[in-house]
Amino acid sequence: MSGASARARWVARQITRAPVRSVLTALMAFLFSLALLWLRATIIHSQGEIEELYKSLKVDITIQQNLNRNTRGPDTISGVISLQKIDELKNEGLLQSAICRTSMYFDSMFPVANPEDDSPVFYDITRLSMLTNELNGIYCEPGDEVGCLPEIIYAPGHDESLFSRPWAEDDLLQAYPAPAVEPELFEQTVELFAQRQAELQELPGFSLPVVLPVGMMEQMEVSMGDPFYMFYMQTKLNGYIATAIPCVVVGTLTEGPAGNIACPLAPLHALETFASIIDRQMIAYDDVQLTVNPEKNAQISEVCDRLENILEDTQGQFGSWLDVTVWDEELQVVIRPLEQSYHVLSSLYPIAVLVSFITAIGASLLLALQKNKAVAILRVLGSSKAQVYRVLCAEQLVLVISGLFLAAALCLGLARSLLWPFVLTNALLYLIGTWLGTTLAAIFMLLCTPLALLQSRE
Amino acid sequence: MSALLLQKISYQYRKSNLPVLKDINCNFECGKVYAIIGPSGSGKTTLLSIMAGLDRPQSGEVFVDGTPLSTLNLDAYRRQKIAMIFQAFQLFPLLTALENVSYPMEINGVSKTEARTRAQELLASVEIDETTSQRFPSHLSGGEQQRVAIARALASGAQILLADEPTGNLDVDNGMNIIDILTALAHDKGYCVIIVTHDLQVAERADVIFRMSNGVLDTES
Repeated sequence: MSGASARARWVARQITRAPVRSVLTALMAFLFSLALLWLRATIIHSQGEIEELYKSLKVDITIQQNLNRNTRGPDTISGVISLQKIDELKNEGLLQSAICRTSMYFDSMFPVANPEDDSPVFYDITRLSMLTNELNGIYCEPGDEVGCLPEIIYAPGHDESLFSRPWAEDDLLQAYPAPAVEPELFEQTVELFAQRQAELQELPGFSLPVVLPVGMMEQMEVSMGDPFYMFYMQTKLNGYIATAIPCVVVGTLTEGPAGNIACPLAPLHALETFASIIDRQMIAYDDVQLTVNPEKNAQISEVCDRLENILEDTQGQFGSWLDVTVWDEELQVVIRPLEQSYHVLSSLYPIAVLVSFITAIGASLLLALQKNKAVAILRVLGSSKAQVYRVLCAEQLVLVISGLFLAAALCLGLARSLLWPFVLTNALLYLIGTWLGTTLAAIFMLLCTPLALLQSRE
Repeated sequence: MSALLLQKISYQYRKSNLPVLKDINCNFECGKVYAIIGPSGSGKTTLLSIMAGLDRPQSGEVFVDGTPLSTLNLDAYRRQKIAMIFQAFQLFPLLTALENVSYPMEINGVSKTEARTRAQELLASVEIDETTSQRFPSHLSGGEQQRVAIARALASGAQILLADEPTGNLDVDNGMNIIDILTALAHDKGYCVIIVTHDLQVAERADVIFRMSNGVLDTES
């Protein structure tokens, strides 16, 4: 024990009485460790920044029919894409929302008369039909904003879940039963369409929830929760088939996107339910705007590949009748340069760690070799090889641990606990490098005879 | 009494197979000063290294107090039986003179206080006062450093002192002073002092002179 304490005192004296060498040894460990931790912190920060940017960006994919082709694609049920395929994308977590525009050529709308009022109000069919003949089907994830549309004011008891939940027949029947229609009113309607030689199809027993532009509501003099009808005209060989769709006002919006005239909005699933009942070819989406799930913005190419697979027709001729456009300029301009820097830094990090490790080996090897005289004298005085090796290692490791500890304390005091694994890893590697270098030097010195070591120095 | 007996010692360098020592037989007794002289490269230091247990001969044996060296723990042998003094003093530069002398005792298990007291006595015996003993080797003269080295050699309690050119870095006066100390240790205190030197003046102070030539050790007087 006395011998061990004597060797401990010897180590302490070697450290304290050679302050320049001791400080330099500790400083080197400190600086290397600090540099690596700074680099790691920068990489983590960049990664976080990029992830936040990805999530903050909105990437849209629009799918439109190629104007040079007059025929629809094989997915004739739903134009450029069907609800089932949109659902596939949604179930895979790739989609946040979809706006599908369908040219449902509706001919007129009129409210259901107040049962206490004998005078139903009719609107000028021609004027109404000039307003818009477009109905937008909306589909989005629960809690998400409804695409890029402006704020919707919902009727009491309604919210955005209108557009994200599935609407089966029973759901619509329960939530929005079709109002009773006065026979006289219906006959007048039939008369209207008879002028056009249209046949009127039987009405379904439930209503379609629709968000109407405020202008339309004013013209129709309807309020939130009021029922109205939307007529869908379909040509046939010798005339028309008119389908009367009972609707109910569940919200209102003030203006359309980018200054366009606002269209009525309906939940996509509800529209599809009507289509499946009334006419399988009723819903044909002319163009679709998909908003990618922000969580997937970083894998936009995978999203596009998946979309390509989904849209591929049976003949494998994807793209021949569809124009698919990815609106990711912001992503390209803002994030790609950041990603390049991030990749460079990430590539540099393991190289920096390796350099640090090699430097630890080299520095400790050179510093230990400077002790060849002391090693020789210790051996001559009767210290065993193991004892000499231990004092060599102790001196180096105490200094290096001091430097690493200071660096770790500084980094963790200023930075985040995220760095803990890297603090430990870098410190361990530097310590192993120090031990390795010291061991190599010790092997060399202890294999030589002490007198040879003393003579070589002379 | 035989302190160290060399029997048919032969040694050659491992890499070149060049013979350095050829069949050396020699007996060293306590109470005498031995000088081994010879030109540079004659094998004097190698012989010293084998006697100190720092290297092993290819053949032959070294006997210490009748016991073969090959059967002894060499580290313990160097701690307790034998001590070395060098031309370049070889003190620990970061330890004071006192600490240089006390350290061999401390690693032998002597307490720090006792070691320091004994070290002070040993330094006094080689004319190093208390003030000088607190200095670092770089602040000591050559003669003082060599005397500290002698005190360190005596600290372990070893009876065999091996000196490799102990006066090589000293002026004549200091050199002779060192030889006086070593001679007194041998004649007055019974140490076996073996001095390797190429200085004939030093060799003439020895009781027995060996001449090393081409790896062969011959007695000169």
